[in-house]
Amino acid sequence: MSRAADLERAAGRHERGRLLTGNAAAAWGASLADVDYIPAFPITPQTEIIETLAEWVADGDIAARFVTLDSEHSMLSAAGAAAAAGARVFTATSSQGLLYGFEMLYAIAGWRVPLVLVNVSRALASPITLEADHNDILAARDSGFLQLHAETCQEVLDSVLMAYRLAEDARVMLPALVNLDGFTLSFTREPVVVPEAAAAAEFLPPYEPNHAAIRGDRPMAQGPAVLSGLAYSYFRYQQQLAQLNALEVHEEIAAEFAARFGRRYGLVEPFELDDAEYVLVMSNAFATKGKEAVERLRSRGLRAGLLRLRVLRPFPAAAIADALEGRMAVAVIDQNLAPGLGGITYQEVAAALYDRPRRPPLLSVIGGLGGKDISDVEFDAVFHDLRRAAAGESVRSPRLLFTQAEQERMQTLLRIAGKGAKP
Amino acid sequence: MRVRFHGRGGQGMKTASRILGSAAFHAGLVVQDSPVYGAERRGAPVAAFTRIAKAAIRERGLIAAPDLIVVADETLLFEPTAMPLAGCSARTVVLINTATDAAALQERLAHLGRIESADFTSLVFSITHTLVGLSTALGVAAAALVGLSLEESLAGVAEELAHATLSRAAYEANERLAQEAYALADAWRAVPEPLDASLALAAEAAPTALLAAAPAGAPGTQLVELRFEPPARATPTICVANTPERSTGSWRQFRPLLQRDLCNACWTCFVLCPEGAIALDEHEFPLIDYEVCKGCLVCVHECPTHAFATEKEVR
Repeated sequence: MSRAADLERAAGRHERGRLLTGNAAAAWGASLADVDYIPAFPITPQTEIIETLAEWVADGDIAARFVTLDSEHSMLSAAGAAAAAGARVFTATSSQGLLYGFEMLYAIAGWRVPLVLVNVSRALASPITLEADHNDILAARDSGFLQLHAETCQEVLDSVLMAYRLAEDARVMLPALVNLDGFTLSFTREPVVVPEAAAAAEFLPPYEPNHAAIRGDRPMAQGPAVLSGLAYSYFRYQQQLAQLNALEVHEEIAAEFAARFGRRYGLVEPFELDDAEYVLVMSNAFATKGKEAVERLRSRGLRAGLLRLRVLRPFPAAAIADALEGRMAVAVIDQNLAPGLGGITYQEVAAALYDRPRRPPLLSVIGGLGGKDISDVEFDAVFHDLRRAAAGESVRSPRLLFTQAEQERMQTLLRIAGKGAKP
Repeated sequence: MRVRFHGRGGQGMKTASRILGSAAFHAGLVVQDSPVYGAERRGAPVAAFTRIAKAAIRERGLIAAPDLIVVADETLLFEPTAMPLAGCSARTVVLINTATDAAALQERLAHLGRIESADFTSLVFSITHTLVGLSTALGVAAAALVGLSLEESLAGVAEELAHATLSRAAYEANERLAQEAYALADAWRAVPEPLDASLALAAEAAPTALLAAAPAGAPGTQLVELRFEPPARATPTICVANTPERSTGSWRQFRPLLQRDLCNACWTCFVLCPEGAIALDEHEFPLIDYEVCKGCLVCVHECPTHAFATEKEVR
C-alpha cells in the first residue's frame, strides 16, 4: 500500500495508533527521520523494511536515494561512505547479513559517522533457523556502534528517531544499531502511534556534519592508515569516551522525547522494581513475557520484578548496579549463548555488580534460543531457583530453559530425521 | 481471546489472522497478530496467531493454549510436524475446513472439546470461482466465533483487502463471501471466554490472581538438563527426500500427470526436479514418486514437449 493511502486511512485514529508490524515501524522511523540515502540488501526477516522503503521512495513519498547492493558488505560500505559524505543514512539487515558485513561495522565506527542500522535479530546458522535470538546483534557489541534494543513495535519506531539524535550528537558521533526481534516484533502487528512529521522534524533537525563531510570544494581523506599504535590508541579510545558520553546524552534525549511524545525510554527499564526481592534481567521482545510472569508471581504473593536492558552500548553499568544491588536474588535471562562460556549479558551484569558491597546472588539462565518459547512453567522454575539461591542453596548456573515435553518432542524430531532410537 | 490458525503456504492463513485482527481493532479492542513459518513455500505448514484483549497484551510469539483453533486444511490434522491441535483443552473450539462431518472428525481426533466444521473451500469456489478467498472466509468465521459483529468483520476484510490488488468484481465477490461465511459461523455457539482476565473480552471474567499457570508437576512441564550426545546423533544432518515418518506428498495442491504418449524421454524433468521425486522406469521414462512430490510443478513448466497435465488434488 502506498504511504499516502496509509496516512489517509490512519487519519482520525492517532491516539489509538494503527496496527503496524515491527518492520513497518522501522520503516516509519526512517521516513520520519527524513533520511537521504538507503542502501539495501534483502534477508529474512528484515526484507519487509527495505521493501516498504523502496515502495515509498518509488512513489515519491520520501525524498531519499534507494540503492540495492550486491551484499551486506557492500551495503555497509556504501552506507558508511554516504554518511561520510554528509548524508543521513538508514539501512537494515539481520543475522547472517550482519555477520557478512561485519568487517565494515568496525570501519564505520572508526570513521565516526552517525548512520542508523536496524538489525532484525535472527539466530545464527548452523543449523539454519529464522526466529530470533541475540547472538547476531551481540556479536557487534565491541564494534563501536551504539546499541538500542526494542521491546515493542512502538519502541522500534521511537528508537530509530532517538538513535539518530544520539548518534549525531557532537559529544557522541558514532553509528547506531537498533535491534528488534525477528517474528516476535518484525512480523507482529500491534498498535503503534506514528508521530506527526512536523513533530518528528522538530525533535530531529537536519544532520549538519562538520567533521566528516566530503565535498567537491573540500577534499578529505577519511579513515586513513595511521600505522602506529600511538595514533591507533588515541583514535580507538576516543570511541570509548564517546560511548561513555552517550550515557548522559541519551538521558537528555529521552527526557526531550518524553516531553514531546509522552513516551519515556531510559537506559534501562525498571518494571515492578520498587519493593522487588527476586528480579529477572531481560532484553527485547521476550521481556514482555517476563513482565507477565512478574505480575503472575506477584499475584501469588512473591515480590517479583524485572529490569529490562534497553541500551546495551554504551553499557549502563551504574544504572544496572543501582537497580540490582540489595535484591534477594537476580537471574539474567540471556537469549543468546557463547558456547564454552554461557550467557553474554550475564557476564556484563556480573561485572557491573562486582564492586558493590550488597551484590545479590546472580544466576545465569539461557532461554529462547532460536526463538524457542519461554513458557509460564519455565519462568516459574527461574523464580524457584531464585528463592533457593537467596536461601543460600547451590543452584545450577548457567541453566538452559528446556522442558521435558520439549525433550520428548526433540527425540521425535530426531527419529523423523532418521537418527534411530535414542542410544 | 487467543486464536491460532493453521494452514498450508498459499491458503492465506496469515491474511485470515490479520482480517480477524483488523476486525477486532476496528471494534476498539487491543490486538496483536503474527505469523510463523519456515522457508516460505506453497504447501508447507504455516501457523498464524491473533490475540485480542481489552487492555495491553503481555504476551509474545506462539499461542500455546488457544481458545479457538482454525484449521484450513484437514490433511494437517494427521501430519506429525504440524500438530494443529497441540495445546487444546476441553474448552478449546476447533474450526475445521472440511467436507467431512464434524461428528465423524470428533471420533477420529482425540479432542475433547467442541469441533465445528464446514466445507469453506466449496463455499469459496462457488462465490469467487477460484480457490482464493479462504482467508476471507476463515478470518470472518473466526471473527463471528469470537463474538465480533458482521460490520466489524467486514471492516477487517476491507482493511486487509486494501493491501491486495483486486478487481472490483473480485472485491465484491469477497464481500459476498464474507457475509455468507459470517452467517454460517454465527449460527454456532460463540467461543467461551478464556479463564484468565488478561485476554478476556467479557466484563465478568475472573481476575488474573485466580489463574494458576500449568499446575506444578503437570506432565512434561518440569525442566530437564540436556546431556551430551554423540555427534552421530547431535549434529543437524537429515536424510534427504522423505523419511519413514514424514511424507511431503501432502503438501501438493496440484498433481503433475505424465502423458506418456507426449514424452520423448529427454530427462529434463528428471534432472530439474528439486526434490529428486522423479526416477526413471525400466524404459527410461520419468516416474513420479507422489509420496515425495510437493507439487512445485517445475516439471510441468520445463517439459519441452508439454507432456505433463495437472490435476487439482482432492483429499
